Amino acid sequence: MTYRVIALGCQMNISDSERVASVLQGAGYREAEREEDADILGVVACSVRQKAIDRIYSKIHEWNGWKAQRPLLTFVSGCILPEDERKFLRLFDLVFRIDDLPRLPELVRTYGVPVPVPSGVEPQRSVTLQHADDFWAIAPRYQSPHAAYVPIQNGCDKFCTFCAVPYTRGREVSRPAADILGEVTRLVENGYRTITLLGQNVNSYGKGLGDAGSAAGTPAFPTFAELLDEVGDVADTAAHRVWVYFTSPHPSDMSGDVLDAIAAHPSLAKQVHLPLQSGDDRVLIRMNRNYRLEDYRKIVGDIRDRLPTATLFTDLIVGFCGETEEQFAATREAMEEFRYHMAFIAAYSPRPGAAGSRWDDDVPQSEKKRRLHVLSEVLQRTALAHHERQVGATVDVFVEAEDRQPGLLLARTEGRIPVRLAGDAALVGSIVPATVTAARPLSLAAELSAAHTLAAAPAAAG
Amino acid sequence: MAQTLRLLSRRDVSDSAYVLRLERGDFSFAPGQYLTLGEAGGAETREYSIYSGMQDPYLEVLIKEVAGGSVSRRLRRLAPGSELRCDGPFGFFTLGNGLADRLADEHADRPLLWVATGTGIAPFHSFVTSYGDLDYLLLHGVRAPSECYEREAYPAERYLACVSEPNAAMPGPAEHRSFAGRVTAYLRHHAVAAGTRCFLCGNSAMIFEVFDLLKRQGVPSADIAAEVYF
Ligand SMILES: Cc1cc2nc3c(=O)[nH]c(=O)nc-3n(C[C@H](O)[C@H](O)[C@H](O)COP(=O)(O)OP(=O)(O)OC[C@H]3O[C@@H](n4cnc5c(N)ncnc54)[C@H](O)[C@@H]3O)c2cc1C
Ligand code: SF4
Repeated sequence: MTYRVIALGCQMNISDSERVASVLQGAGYREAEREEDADILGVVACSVRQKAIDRIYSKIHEWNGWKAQRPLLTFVSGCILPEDERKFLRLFDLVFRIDDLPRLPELVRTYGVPVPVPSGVEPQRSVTLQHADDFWAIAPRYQSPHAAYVPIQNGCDKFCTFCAVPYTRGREVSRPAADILGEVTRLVENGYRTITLLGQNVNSYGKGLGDAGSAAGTPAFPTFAELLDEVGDVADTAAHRVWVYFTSPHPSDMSGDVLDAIAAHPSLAKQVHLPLQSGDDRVLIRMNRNYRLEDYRKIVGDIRDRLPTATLFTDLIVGFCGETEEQFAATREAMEEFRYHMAFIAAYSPRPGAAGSRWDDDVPQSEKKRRLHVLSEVLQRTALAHHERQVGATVDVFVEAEDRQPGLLLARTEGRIPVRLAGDAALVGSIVPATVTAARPLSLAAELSAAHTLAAAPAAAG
Repeated sequence: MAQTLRLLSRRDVSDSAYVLRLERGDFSFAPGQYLTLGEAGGAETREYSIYSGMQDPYLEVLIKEVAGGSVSRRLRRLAPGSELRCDGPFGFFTLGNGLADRLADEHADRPLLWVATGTGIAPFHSFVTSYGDLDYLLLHGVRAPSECYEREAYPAERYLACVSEPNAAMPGPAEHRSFAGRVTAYLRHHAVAAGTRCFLCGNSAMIFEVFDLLKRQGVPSADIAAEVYF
């Protein structure tokens, strides 16, 4: 039997899909090259974003079309809202919460098995139990041999009023540090160049757990800063360069000791993602973001003091319920002030389940688009100014993939700025020095340094 | 932690507002936090601030039945003994947590200004029930005196109803004062003392207006905590 799993959504969905693949492999299924050849087809997706939903529907309609020709089992999991779960049950054979992934083989095995059930009761096609510990125990099948995502924390208790994560992924659960360090150690030993620690709310890792589960004096859940320190210790001693990232943190848990840990370890990449969401205190209050612009400003100051080379990324929402022109202007000013290298800017759209979804979504779509455009322009300007200062400098870049244009490679700086450069495909997966030749608003152009312009095997680089 | 809790009783505190008393289970919380509540087996839940005190053997929430609302109407019609789906506690609107953390530690003796509209009084009721001896003034923005839910819970000198409907008579205990006008009108004429920590809870229109007003009076935004209901 063969399977094929596709991920639709964010890095968390990709990381989840890697674990889904691993569970299916463990149960004896092989990965099919193409969807057309698979016996089991699954989507790990986000039912919170309309775009992902549209793609889920188009996929399942295509797959259900194939069912007339051959036996096929379909499933969906990921960040699924309770109301979508019911809709998906009509289209997919199996729907399960990602925490229940360990039970997938059992669900697959028993699917369609005619067991006597009381009339009116559906055979079990969806499970909702929580098995966080079993979930962490699953080793993923990484999609890339060079770049890996390592989940360290799942769910969220912060309940920002625009966000459905607390409803789709449930309460905050932290993964035991020993598991995380084990996975990071294996990745480092296997030559991985970038490792991203993932969680909906990564820096609340271990919060409130104290030394729960401690054995022989080592806490199972250190603080996030302590965890970073330990991960840094592992990655610093690797035989090759490794850059460790984490995403997404919350400003209210971004303490000075997290920044100190990043500063102390060469392997902890100098890049900080610090979602601002809005530059107006009143909007932050309405979003239930537990910080004010003043708090955020202080963290940015600390980042620039302690990590002077770090790039700063953010997330912003325009057109949240009731956002006035004046409140929007405060976000624009904050962007000018914080001079981001990158910003993920979204026009607000209600997320079912979130408190905000029951409030008036009263900023017209056209106005949201305009605000988004204004912020994009600010971003392009501030990012370009950063990039222009890099021209002529030699920087290390991680070569991620070949570009669609033959002969070109796609890479990223340690600060995760995209770089295009000419080079041999054999460099994919390595960290190599390159000289920046031109700055663009959201990327850099570079040339490989002389030693790497010839084909170099990844093992010899980085 | 999500759990199923049994409804013990309901008491109406006005034509449209009521207090639900639930069994406590092993639910622990910090006063000011909220929980999510819905019918067991139902798909919908809503957020409700915890009304009862930390030491009370039960949980209470103060809910206003919203015209055309779905959960606030259905919860009112549940019979004692019904099961409710309850999750939490959530939120940072506490005296010694989250945003207020650094304030609580360093400035435990600073005066408190609490401003509520309607059922936004719930977390303040929990503060008062949980902690003795707080130096606070509670401004309760209401349309009519009938919305002064259980004001006997607060000493007369600490509770001031700000009644927005003109000519609304203020029946009840004579010692309870009231102000004819909205909370913002009151605050405009009574600037807060330096060093006051401010907590605002209820509808966003009031919260934004009061936030702006307090800022103009020189209150740093770090000294203003807020919980928006809608
Ligand atoms: C953090 C938080 C804490 C909350 N705590 C409380 C509480 O302690 N007590 C309480 O009664 N409500 C509280 N609410 C509001 C509550 O969660 C529900 O929104 C409310 O009960 C309406 O739900 P519904 O299903 O009946 O109406 P819905 O069908 O969800 O919506 C009806 C409409 O009523 C509006 N609305 C919501 N609350 C009110 C209100 N109190 N008065 C007038 N209009 C309203 C909504 O914006 C919506 O447009 C809180 C909300 C949040 C986000
Ligand atoms: S946006 Fe807010 S609610 Fe959503 S995952 Fe992040 S912290 Fe949690």
